[in-house]
Amino acid sequence: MITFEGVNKEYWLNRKRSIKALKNVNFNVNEGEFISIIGPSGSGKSTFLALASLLDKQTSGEIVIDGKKTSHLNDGERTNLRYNLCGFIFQFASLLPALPVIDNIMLPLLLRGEKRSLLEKKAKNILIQVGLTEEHASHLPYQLSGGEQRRVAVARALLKDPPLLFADEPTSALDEDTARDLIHLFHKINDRGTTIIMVTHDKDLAQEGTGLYEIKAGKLTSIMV
Amino acid sequence: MKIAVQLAWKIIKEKRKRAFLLAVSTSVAALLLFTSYFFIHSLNTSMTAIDGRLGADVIVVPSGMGMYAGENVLSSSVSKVYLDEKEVMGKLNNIEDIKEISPQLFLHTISTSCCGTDGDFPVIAFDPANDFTLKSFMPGIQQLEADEVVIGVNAGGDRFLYHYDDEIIKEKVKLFFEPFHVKNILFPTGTSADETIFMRLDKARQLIHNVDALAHISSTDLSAIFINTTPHNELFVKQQIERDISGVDVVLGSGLRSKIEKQMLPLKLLSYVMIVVSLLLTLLQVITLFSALIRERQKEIGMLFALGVLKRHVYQLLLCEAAIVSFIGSSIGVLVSLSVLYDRQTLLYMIFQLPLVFPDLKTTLFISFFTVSTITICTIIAALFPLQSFFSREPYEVVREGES
Repeated sequence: MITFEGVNKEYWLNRKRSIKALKNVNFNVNEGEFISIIGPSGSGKSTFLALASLLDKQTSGEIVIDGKKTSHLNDGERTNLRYNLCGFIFQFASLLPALPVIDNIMLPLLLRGEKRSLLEKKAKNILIQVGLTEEHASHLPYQLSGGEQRRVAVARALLKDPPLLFADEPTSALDEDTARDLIHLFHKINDRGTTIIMVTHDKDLAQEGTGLYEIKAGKLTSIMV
Repeated sequence: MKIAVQLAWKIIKEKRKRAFLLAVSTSVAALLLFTSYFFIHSLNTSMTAIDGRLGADVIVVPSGMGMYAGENVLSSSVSKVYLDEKEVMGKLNNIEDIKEISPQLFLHTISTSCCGTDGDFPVIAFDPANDFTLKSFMPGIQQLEADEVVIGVNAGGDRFLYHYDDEIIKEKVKLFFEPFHVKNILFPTGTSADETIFMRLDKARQLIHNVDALAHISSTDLSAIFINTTPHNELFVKQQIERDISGVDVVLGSGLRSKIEKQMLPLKLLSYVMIVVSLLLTLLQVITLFSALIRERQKEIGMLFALGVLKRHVYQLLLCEAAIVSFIGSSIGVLVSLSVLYDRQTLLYMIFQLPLVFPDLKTTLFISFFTVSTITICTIIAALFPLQSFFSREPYEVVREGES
């Protein structure tokens, strides 16, 4: 599903100094896998996730997604590929504070021209799947708890049934029970065939995946397959 | 696009403080722009109007009064020296290149109370059927009846109408022992015509026989004759009159027009400067405000990119927000300006002491539309600048910066 071939990522601080966030990363994930990636802060986990989900461009190397080489794609093509293949759950819920839950869930698809009437029913169903109720649909984000907001972010990511789901520290700032519920939900999604790549610094949580990798100082190593 | 407008509207309603700030900023800009444009238009309209009064290509006055002719026209203050209508009008009618002739007769400066306003008001008679000097300042002046007068705005003009038992009552004024209905007021001219009372010439001639104070005036006397000529023949007509009619001074009107134009130039320049400044201010204000707002919403924007929303859709959403708020703000600015201008019309004449004819409804609507569109377009252009800086970066960079 996703292949990294000798991928490097370098951030330039100024003309002379740079930081190598990823160093010669080779990686492969197949359809239906649930991969966890662990590593300390600043090790390059989020950079890895950003490259895998086409949110950022590698400095060198090739990333192949769903059989397509991505290094030569332009902005629009990368956005379209991301839209068609990827769902994203951020470290923070990152909801639009001024829009009700239902609009937050449907927003990317609405702006893409999908019909509200067709989306609304599906969005409400997904709300229930992620453990919320239809009543939550009209709430504004500030009226929800942190866990509920995170569930809305999951619902938003799932609305278009993406074959690939990226999660960046999805349980950070959540209590133990809510975190467990969320991981349970991830398993359900994964059972339906969705490939999940989750970045976390929580070693226990990382054990939940079917594959485990560790990033240290920009180098990716497989720990368990 | 429809969905972008709907979503933008929801965001505006929810983020009222943010929208309010932007609306106030565009409102102030619209107020300045509208007021400036309104002034310039009013001045131009006034120039056209005054052209009717000063548009007399040639003015004929009694001999020796030529040097005061300009003052005559501008201020309506006239002398007690008269022209003989029989002698002058007959000869003028024989000059081919004369297009229009409008005679006026100064009767008396009367001390009276007109519409509750006490003062010394010059009374001037004119011929409504042939008038081309006053009609620009009062549409329908041709239908003035014998028992009616038209008054200047400072001759109690602002109080010539009053309400009694839900009826609009027009004031009456007693002149030379006879009551006259006040038909209407002249548009303010910024000249002494604003203190003048105008009546029909035939009525004035009836009064001459009955009133002692007017005994010195004969029934064929005139104070000044305003003449419009065929194009480019002013000088020729002036020479013809000087050759054919003795005992008169003949003055060209063009000098008077330029005098008024010069008088208005500083106000016009100020208005143009206000237009440029208000547009620049709008651009700067919106760029500053929008930069701050976009920075505040960086995480949202990055998130939209990450979820596969195309840049043009993000543009649409954010520009719709800017356009809607700006439209509302600038409309409020225009309404405030319009209300103040109309409510304080008389005060403005007193301040500027210049002719100021306000535009009609159609033109006012056009100026309003122009102002709202200009400010809205400026806002959209200004909002593009901070957005551009985001859209040249990778989505991940925008998300990370927004989180920090």
